[in-house]
Amino acid sequence: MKNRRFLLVGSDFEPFCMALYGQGGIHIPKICADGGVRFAHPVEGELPDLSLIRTILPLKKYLFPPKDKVLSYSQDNGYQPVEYNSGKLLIFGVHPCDLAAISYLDKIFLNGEPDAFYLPRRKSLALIGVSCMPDKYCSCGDIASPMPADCDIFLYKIETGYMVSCESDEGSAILSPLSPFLHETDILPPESTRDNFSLNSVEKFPDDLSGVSSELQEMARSCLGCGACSICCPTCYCFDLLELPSLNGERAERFRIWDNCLYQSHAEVAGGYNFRKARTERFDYRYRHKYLGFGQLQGIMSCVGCGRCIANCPAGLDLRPLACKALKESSHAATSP
Amino acid sequence: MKRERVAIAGLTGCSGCQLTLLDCEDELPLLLKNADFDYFPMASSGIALKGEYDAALVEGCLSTQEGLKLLRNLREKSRLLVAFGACAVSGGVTAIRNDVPREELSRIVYGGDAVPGGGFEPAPLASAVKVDFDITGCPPEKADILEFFAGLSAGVLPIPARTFVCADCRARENICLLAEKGELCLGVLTRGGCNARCPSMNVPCEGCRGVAEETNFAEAMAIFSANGFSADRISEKGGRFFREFLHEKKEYQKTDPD
Amino acid sequence: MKKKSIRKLTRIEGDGQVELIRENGIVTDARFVISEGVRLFEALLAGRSFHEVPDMVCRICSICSTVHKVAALEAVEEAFGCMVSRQSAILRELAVNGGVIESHALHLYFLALPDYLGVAGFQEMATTAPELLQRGARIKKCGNLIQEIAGGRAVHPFNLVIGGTGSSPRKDSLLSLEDELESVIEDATSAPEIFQAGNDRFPELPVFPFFAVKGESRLSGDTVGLSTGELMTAASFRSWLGESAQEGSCAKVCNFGNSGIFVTGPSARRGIENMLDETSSPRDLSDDRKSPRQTVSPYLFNLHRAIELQQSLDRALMLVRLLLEEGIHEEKALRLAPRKSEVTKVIEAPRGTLLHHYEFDRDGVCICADITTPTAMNQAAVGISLRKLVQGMAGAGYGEIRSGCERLVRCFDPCLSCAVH
Repeated sequence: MKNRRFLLVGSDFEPFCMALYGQGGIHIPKICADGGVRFAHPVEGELPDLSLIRTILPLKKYLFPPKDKVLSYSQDNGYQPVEYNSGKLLIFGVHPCDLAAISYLDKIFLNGEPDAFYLPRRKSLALIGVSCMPDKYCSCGDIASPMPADCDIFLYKIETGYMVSCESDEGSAILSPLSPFLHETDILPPESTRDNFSLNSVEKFPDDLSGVSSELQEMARSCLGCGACSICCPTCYCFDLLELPSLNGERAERFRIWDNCLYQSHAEVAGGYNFRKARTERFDYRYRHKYLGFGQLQGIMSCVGCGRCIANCPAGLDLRPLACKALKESSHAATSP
Repeated sequence: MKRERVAIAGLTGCSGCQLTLLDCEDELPLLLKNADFDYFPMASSGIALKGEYDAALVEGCLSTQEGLKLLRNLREKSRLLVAFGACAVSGGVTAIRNDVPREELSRIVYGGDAVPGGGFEPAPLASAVKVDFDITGCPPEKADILEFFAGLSAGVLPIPARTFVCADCRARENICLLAEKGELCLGVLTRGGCNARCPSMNVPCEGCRGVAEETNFAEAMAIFSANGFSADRISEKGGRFFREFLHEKKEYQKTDPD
Repeated sequence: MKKKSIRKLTRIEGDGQVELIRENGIVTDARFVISEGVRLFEALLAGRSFHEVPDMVCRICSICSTVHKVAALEAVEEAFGCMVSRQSAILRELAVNGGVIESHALHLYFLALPDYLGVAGFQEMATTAPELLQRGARIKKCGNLIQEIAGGRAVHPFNLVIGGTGSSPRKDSLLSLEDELESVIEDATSAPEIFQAGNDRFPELPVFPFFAVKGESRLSGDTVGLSTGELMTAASFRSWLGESAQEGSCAKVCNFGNSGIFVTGPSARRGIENMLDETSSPRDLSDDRKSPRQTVSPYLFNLHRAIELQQSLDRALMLVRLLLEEGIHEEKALRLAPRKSEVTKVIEAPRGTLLHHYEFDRDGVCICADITTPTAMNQAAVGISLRKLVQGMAGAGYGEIRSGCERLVRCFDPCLSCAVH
């Protein structure tokens, strides 16, 4: 069924979901009892709410948890890696931005020597994407990462229901038993529902922010430094390692914990020297990572435009105007004599 | 393995930090194997400070001459002196009216002019002695206490949490009590490491773990006011654990760490 | 020649001393001195919003933090005419019982038991009586678990908020608590037997009339019952309960008008229960020794505490089952509209009757706070008992008398942070 498209009529959506749930572990986007939107296990008979715009945390919570045990030490056996054998988990209802973010994380964690803690988790995930309508915080259509929105199955919302596109062999395996609900089609999904990610070429943002230094400073002044933006960012992957000894000193556990470039300690090195002591420097750094990319991925923008950083900022900060202004300033500078 | 000699003392406070240590019921047998609580009047009869201590954990704020004497004595005899809990670290909730003379407050409660026991303004331990490590919180998290003891045996001090309660809270995927529910939640200013204990149960953070490594009070104040909280309300709630919210005459300066 | 020697009290909460007066080497008198630093909570609260009151007052004492919090919450809610939901009320009662379990287990197994075993503290018990210590730790942990589930934390429970609860407990945590309670009730069956003995080593001590809250539930209500048969309302407390500063003590001393010296605590609760309700309580009310009539001797405090530990465990289990039976609801805490008001709340803390009195102005600003704690109420009885003990031990050595005094003070399970606050 790979690379084929099918129509799923609205009235078949519920039985389609129930049959899908029958295949095993599944998480869907849902409004939980406290009003929070999260990917979570559906309760009996609960359908995924595909109209929800964004979950609080992106999918990195499955691939790269906030506190992850990576080694355990005992006097007898020395350091032993922790092994993960996670069961298959299907995530139904992932937006293109979150899919693009996973493509980005894959490049970070799987290129070269694959990360032993990311790889098994990534292998266990099957992804069903869904098209969506951006809101005021989204920037997927304008300025966002060129990463592809890869997944196993993608659902385009159409008037009569969904157009289901099978994108991988795994997608085929999932869809085969569901064929009674699917009617093959060769028409293309409507333009408006197609993802913008691999299609749009992203303009190159300037690496010199001197033209917007006052805006940068203004943002840094309003920033609380709490780091919520980075916690919720689907492509923030900085981590720290922390080893905790047991009470009797005979055992220890080493954890990989999320680090945060908004914190002063992020750029502190041995001897107490700090590369980015001022908040403006940290904002500059964040801009560089999100809009310019760095390291192996230099030149590849990492912001996928999901809008979580804006939606979750207690101070209501928004990096987009800064980036846009910088872009404008630099193109202005380039065209001026 | 060598058992660490430890003193656990309480100055003026609620004994909640010492109680939290005693509340580590599951870990107590192991703790006792590795540490000798040679001085622990709340839980044991010995009252003499004998010999040297590897560590002294001192709970409560400094507010009496007797307390000061004990604190100095413990400092002299101990390799590590630990401020155990919010009162020891910052003065705690009892230091919220240090702008008013003690006698005046005492008159409200006791009637007379003299402060019973000759008590003075509650102050952090660091106002009198060098403090080597802070275990923050009101009360501290059990995990923080156990991490300290594990580190003590291993010869290291724990790394204080660098996160904010706000970040811990987001990492638990809670909804934001400040931004989404308009509550007076101090997580945006507070040092994390508690795994956002209160906001995770839908109760706004009151800042008991003290200020994070870098904070932006001006912006926080602006957000709280924009949410409709009066300056008084903000200063009252914020003032429980953050001296920055009180307009105190006296500034508490922590001693240099080295 | 008169000489004073002061001995710091250990294995109690807070800072206090026993002062022994020696004349020509012979101990002739003893005093109980509370030297805990004054924090002046009542003055700290004056001028602050009602929002601050419950979160501040629970910091008076960690062991009693839950009951201080609940007293203040109920006071604030009553002052502004608010009734919390049935579920919140049950959760609060559960939390208060959790506090009793934790406090009694701490006192009996960690602080008092070393006296019975002749060791310095729990540290020695870990080697000489590890099973007893572990049993006590299990009971204590269960009390903490209750407070964590209902209140969010064992010390300074934050989930008990003005107008209700922050969030409701999950069904699975209540189910595991039910299991835990069932097994801990077994652990506690031997408690009265353990604490029956031991204190008989005291010479004759005075006996005291007593009082406790008498209300709908065992630990809270609007009236106080006296062993003399009288009933007093909380609101009229100034007519029956006086409190005055005393030279040399940081805690005020309570008096009960001309009625003599009363005691409060587990024994008093059992006595009042006995007087007012002879039929319904499950735990041996018919036995005079296990449940006092008219007066009680400090001899029996630990025994009654041990029986009450069982009562609170039973009650907690009953409440957990009630919650499970009625189903857990997600609820929002009620918002209060402040008004000018004066309110007095009485509630039973682990150590006895606790009274919170507040006056609020029309904006809800607390203009007066007056907190009277069980240890302040018992202070006079401790003093008299000590004097009587020293007289009864005439001829004994200094060390013996001193340790007798310490043991006697401990029987009252005083909480000195509460007493001073």
